[in-house]
Amino acid sequence: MLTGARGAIVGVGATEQGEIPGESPEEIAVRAAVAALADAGLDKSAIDGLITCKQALSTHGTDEGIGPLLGINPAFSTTLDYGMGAFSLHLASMAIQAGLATTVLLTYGTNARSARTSFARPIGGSSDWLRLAGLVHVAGPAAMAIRRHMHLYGTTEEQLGWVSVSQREWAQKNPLAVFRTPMTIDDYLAQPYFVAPLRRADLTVISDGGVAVVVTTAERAADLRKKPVYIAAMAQQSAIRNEQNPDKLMRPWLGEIAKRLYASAGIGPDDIDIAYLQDGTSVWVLQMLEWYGFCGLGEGGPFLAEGHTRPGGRLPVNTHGGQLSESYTHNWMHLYEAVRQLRGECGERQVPGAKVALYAQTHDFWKGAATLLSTEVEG
Amino acid sequence: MTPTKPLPDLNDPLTRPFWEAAREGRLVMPECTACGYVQWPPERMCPECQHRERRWREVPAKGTLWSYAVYHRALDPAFADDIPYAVGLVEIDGVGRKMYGLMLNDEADLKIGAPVHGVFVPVNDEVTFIRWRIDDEAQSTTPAPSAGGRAD
Repeated sequence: MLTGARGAIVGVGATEQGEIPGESPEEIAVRAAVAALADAGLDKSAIDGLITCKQALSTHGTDEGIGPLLGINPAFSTTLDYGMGAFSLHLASMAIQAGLATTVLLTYGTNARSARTSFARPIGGSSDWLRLAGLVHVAGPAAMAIRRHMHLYGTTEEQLGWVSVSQREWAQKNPLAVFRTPMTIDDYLAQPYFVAPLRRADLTVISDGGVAVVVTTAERAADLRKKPVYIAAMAQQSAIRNEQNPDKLMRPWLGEIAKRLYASAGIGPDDIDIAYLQDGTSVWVLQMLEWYGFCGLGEGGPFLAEGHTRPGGRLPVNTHGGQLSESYTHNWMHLYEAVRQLRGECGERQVPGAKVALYAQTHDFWKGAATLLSTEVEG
Repeated sequence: MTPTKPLPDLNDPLTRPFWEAAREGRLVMPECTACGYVQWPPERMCPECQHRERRWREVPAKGTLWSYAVYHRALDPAFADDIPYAVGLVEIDGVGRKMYGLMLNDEADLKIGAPVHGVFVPVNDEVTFIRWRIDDEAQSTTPAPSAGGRAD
């Protein structure tokens, strides 16, 4: 049964995505926060909880850096590392359920593009060993994971390509998206390899942008101006043994998140209308489609090629274009889009009648978090 | 000019025995003296029992290619002259631990599941890297498949 006991999202805000030269991550985060408060119809004085995230690979974005710009002294205030939207949402729900705050503002800003952040560094544990082997950038381990998948299950490059092609089709309907140029599967296959078998289109956009979300109790949400989007179920799983896990690259622990998420909600993958799967690489989308049970293990390739995730498909995925086409905000824009889809505000790309959304993130090989969002709950 | 490739810190006691053995053409991995867990990569404690003493166990420089990634971009500029280069993940025979390392084969000859052996390549007087090569009898004799839609 879906309940509203874990809290509700009552406001979302975003800045432009792409290039925002000359602005700090904190300024961008606060501009997004102002937009989210306006969306919720709340004054900043209503905020008694603040959760911020550090910009990836930087020291920017702490609550202590954002406080002087936002000008509030919330009762509860904290910062998560590495820009993790889905984990921040869980923390907001926990703070509300624990009585530390009633209305929590979550905000994130990044200037990764303007600051020319280099992502060509080892990803995963044991970075020294990775660097010595020339295994830098997330594309390396992701390429190994999909190459293994191809070996085990016969997955093809063309099948994987449908992750990027499908998301580009969605992005064409999204004015905020950075990459909106049409891309067919032939265009995808014609791209040179980046780290084979991955191409540039299999990897995240690098962009500037900000996103913010306001979370409060279901009771308070009922009195606010926008249709509440309830946090119906949450689950996490870590894999922080990292390299000491025998199957690090295939991330089977994603299945543990799914199992607990569905058990908590009393629903399954067939009940999900739209899915937001963090896509630092296309490989992560394929893995999550399988582990969250939208298809069987090893069947992600055919599932994608059948077009289910595309506009008009039965499981629209990343309807804003995701990190592969829209922008790079570490899963935060996925949440912004999920909320707006559930509220029916997405215009040309609106998925008719969408009531239940899966919002799932992974921090590479370390941990994952997933939330079921719904506009309809009981009790 | 291409920057110099990264080198290991030979003064780190955690990994010094590994590099000393590599210079002698041997592959060693730390084994917990309390519970026998073979750990790769080395950390300062056993992940099983938190014991901190280890012995360095020699393991065969042989294994199976578990997967690989082929770099077509010099994401680390120090590897620019090697493009395209393949990094393999090799499952070491007998211990089941996996090691990353540069592959010495052409991309077309790489095959997951193929037996591989370590090749000890000195890069200076002190540092010897272990690179990996597919065993000769396992080398593919078929032409490379086309890029699009292949299933391997």
